[in-house]
Amino acid sequence: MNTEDHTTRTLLLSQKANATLLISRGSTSNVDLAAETLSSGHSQIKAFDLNNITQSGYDFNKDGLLMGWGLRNSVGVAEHPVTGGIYSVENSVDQIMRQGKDAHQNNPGEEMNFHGYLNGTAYGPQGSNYGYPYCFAAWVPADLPDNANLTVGSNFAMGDQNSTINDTYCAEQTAPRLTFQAHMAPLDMKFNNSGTEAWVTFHGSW
Amino acid sequence: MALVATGLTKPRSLQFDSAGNLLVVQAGSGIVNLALQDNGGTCLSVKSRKNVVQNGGVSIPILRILPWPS
Repeated sequence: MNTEDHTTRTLLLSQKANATLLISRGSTSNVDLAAETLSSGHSQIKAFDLNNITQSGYDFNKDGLLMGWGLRNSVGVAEHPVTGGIYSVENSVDQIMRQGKDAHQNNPGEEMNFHGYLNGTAYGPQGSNYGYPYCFAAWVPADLPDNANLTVGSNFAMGDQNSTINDTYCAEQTAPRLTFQAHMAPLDMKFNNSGTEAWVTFHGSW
Repeated sequence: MALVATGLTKPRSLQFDSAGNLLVVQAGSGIVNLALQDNGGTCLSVKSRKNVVQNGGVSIPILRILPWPS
């Protein structure tokens, strides 16, 4: 994998699922349209079985279990020590516009997302799309045009709505579990041993 | 959600050490060790702070070796 922007990759070894490595990979730019295509491998979290690596190694784009896509740059990834649930924290888009209005000061919110489990416990939205590059979580809905149906954490469409990309489509993408203030840039997430708290570092606006 | 520590510069990775102190990587400046004060409930504050590694211009990741297979 080579990209220009968002060059870090997050690795997490599961404590619950034997020899399972999670990898989070972000976008190549602020609005990376390649992330719209699953086979691009951009803006995804995937899990890989380290027991079955072939000689040439896995191809991130083709192999592995998809935990989620449409995740702009989810740098922090954590596994709940009790339930094994997989969580991530998301660095969302800069300079957002909506229907001609510059809404970037207080939107979109950063996100904490949930991706199910690695032990085979079924979770419907595992591997689902979390919105990027078109849908983002509202932080201050009042700053967004056409906000009657939006609350904090609602997925809304960036730019101008059309017949395919609109708030209805965005409402069908997986919404965050928690929404944080815009541009806080969460970069890591750790649980305490009992799993009663999650700790998150926030870089703050770049 | 509770705010525990402020005044960090470009914080990235975080990890707890075996004594319960919070280690935080500050990109470009190194690793800081935050000793925490439990004020009851979910109220935590930083009791003291010291530099573990001071390093300008270098981003140092924290690596944790996990027992494997678990």
